[in-house]
Amino acid sequence: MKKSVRQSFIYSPGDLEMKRRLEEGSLSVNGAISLLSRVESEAQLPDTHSISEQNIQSIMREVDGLVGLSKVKGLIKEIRAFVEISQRRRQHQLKSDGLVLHMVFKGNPGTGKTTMARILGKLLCELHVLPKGHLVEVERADLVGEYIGHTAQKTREQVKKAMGGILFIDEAYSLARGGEKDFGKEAIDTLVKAMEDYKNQFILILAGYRLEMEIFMRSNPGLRSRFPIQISFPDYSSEELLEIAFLMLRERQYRLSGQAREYLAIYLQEKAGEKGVNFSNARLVRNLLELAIRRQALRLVENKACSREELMLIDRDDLTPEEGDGGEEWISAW
Amino acid sequence: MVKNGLVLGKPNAGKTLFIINFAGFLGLRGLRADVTGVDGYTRRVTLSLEQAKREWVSQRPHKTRQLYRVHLLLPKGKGKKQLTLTDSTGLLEGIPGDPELRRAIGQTLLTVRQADFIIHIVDASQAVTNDWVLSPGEVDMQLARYGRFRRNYLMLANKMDLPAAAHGLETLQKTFAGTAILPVSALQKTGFIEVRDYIRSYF
Repeated sequence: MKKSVRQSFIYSPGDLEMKRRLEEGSLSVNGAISLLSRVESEAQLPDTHSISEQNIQSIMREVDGLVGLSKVKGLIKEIRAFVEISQRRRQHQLKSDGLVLHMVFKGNPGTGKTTMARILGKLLCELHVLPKGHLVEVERADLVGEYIGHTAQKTREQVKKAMGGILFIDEAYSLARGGEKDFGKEAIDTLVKAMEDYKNQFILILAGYRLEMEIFMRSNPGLRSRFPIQISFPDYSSEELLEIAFLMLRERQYRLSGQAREYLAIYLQEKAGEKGVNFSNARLVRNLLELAIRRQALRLVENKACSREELMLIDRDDLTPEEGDGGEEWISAW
Repeated sequence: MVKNGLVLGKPNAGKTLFIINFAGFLGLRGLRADVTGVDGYTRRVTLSLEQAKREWVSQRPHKTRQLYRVHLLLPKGKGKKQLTLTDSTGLLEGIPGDPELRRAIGQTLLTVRQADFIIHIVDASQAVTNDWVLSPGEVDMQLARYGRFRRNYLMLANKMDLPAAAHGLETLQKTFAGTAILPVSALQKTGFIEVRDYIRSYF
């Protein structure tokens, strides 16, 4: 006798999409049935498949367009391949354990953690791992309450908001700071509970400084095993920072003059070499450039007859903070 | 182990009458059915075969708008196997104008993949005519194509009691070459033994 194991049936997104289109009247019955056989014969709906395939390609291009981060990019590709293979395995009735994609992002400020989380959300949405793929960015204050019982409530609220997407907790290690009586612990417990309860419905990403995060993960033995993916975001080298600067300027349609370029290269080399407390990687570059853009505007505003070329050009003087005008302070305050 | 069959076909192909008479052929006096409306809500009804014929069957196409899952027992060896046959909404060509009908068809197609086997009924007496609604057409072609990709698919050429059907069956066998077609008459209950043996092989 043949024995088959029947599992509770979950409609594939392709089938649900087919039903929706049929109901709204944009798909004929014949078309719907032909889609059924295509899904059965190949792997996925070719119709929506090619669209999401295109979207995935464009997201992967976006990932490749990021400067540096070669390890992180590799990991993104790994995740993408893993998800696709699990889906293909399921189509062939092979076992595929639910993907656990909770992650820890370790790295200094401005190393691309939030950017990566946002891209990841979009990618996982296209891969049908997450229904929405949006990013809910929270920090300690959004999770921890003021009185007993308040914390669980607040944390659950944030989890609810993140359903179908990613809950991104910045500076997550601060939840463990503050000792035994701190409500941060309660937030962690609630999060762990939510991870079990809503297993595949949202992804939790904990982000923070490398050292602090490592201590944090070690302090809670249950945490480490629940986050199988740990990604380190290294600091950018001065060359990468310069590349980022050029990318940012190109996006905003500005150009650097020769002198400005030289100055910027030296400035970034100095900053990257120092690695001061306030060294904020790409964010430093962005703030510097935004300041320069404002200064250029100030320089040109009186000159009514400036050319297109002039409007695009950023001078060395726009970049260098003049003595005593507070520019430098303004940057370091960020 | 219950096996679930889905009965598909164009409107007025005789899906409902086939299920009722097949139940009678298997020795049942009454029907126990789970009726799922378009809203997804399921209720259970029990009625005699005569009642079912009166209430469920009509000469007019599109009598069935809900999914009727009928529970049957199929003798096999010494024991009996549990079996359900689900009656579904008739599949139209193109895009149906009635939104409720579209929903009903969508609901039917969504359950296709859940079914352990599929019985696809075509009206053999209409095979040589060219009726947009009733004649075997593109929908049947697509279903047969789908049947080749999946396991446990069976096509029934119904209404073999009608004079035009003999010629129609030949046409069907040519059109759907490579697909197993069993001639039946749901009304006269002919060809049911072969259908039963086919379904038995699915267990």
